[in-house]
Amino acid sequence: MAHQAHSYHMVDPSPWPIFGAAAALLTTSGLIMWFHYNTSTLLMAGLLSMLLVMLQWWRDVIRESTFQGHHTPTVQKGLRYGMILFITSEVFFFLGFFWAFFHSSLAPTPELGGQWPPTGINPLNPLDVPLLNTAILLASGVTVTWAHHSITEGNRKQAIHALTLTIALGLYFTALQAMEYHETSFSIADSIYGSTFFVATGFHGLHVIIGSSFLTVCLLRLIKFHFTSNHHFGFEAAAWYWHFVDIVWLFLYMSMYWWGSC
Amino acid sequence: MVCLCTASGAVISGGALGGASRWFRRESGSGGESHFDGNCDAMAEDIRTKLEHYKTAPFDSRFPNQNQTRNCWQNYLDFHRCEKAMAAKGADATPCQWYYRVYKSICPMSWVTTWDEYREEGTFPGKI
Repeated sequence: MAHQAHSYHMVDPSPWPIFGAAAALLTTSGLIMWFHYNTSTLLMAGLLSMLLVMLQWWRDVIRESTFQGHHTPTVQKGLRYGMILFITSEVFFFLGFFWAFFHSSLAPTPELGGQWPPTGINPLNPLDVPLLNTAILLASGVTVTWAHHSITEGNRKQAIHALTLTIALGLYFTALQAMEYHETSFSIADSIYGSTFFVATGFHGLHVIIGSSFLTVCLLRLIKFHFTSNHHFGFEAAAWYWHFVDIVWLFLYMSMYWWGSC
Repeated sequence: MVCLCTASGAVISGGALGGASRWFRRESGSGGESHFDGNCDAMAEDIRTKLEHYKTAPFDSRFPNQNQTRNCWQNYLDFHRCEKAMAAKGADATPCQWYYRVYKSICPMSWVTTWDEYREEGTFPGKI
């Protein structure tokens, strides 16, 4: 039939899902080869194919929505559910690392000297760069909300400024955190302290980079007039993700940086 | 002369000694600066009696659960802290033997050997 009698989007056949699965296989096996045999070829192939699939799949989503008009309110509702469920799964992902941290820090073993931080570990001063990073992410939460309001009010100039500022703050955080990583007197190999600290903050940093990338794509789309004042779900999803990243940082800061350094 | 029995009061708070928790706390006794002397001798006999009648580590309510790692660790620490404190004051280290007996009773021998080696090397992670 020529027209659909429902408001859903029956997507055209696409190669990206199966290529994405192949990319996941290459990446995971590539990680194993890198960890155990110190060769990174497979991993590079995996990451490259993953990047290409993401770019092309999401490019197609933008084509289907912005240019072809397939994203009805019903479709958008489904996407909202999807993003919320995804972020929820990420919450559980981080919960695991917080569990590991509290398991080890609440009852420190004799090997650590029965104390937390363990004997010999000099933790970072929480009132130093980590506090600045907290302020940066909180400010970026404000600017992304400012950008959202600007979009709904049809204020193009302010929306672009606010979103650019948000991304700049995100990059500033990443740069500072990278510098901090370089400056610590302890490494990931330094007892369970190093493991919990770097795995948790490391995954958080990765999520900041992902969030910043998502916001950057939104900025490009904003500049190219993809969004209307009523319909801009890509931006909302990015903003939700960014707030999630901010909240994870707050918990990291309070537990590992602040409580974990006393 | 101030009785040196209370020297380690600040270092060790132990429920394990039972009577010894009184041991390290100031008792209200006769007035004057030597008011601990009488109690000290009584305490000294007290701990000697306890050591003579020692069979095995008694229940310690600080460590009520199945995992007794912390019990072993705490008594190992307390023994060495007690020895160090008594030596610093030049006092009799006999009361410290209680902690020695307890940790010897409950710690795995390999742990004790390892920790003794660490102390030798200066790499023992605990605060003594």
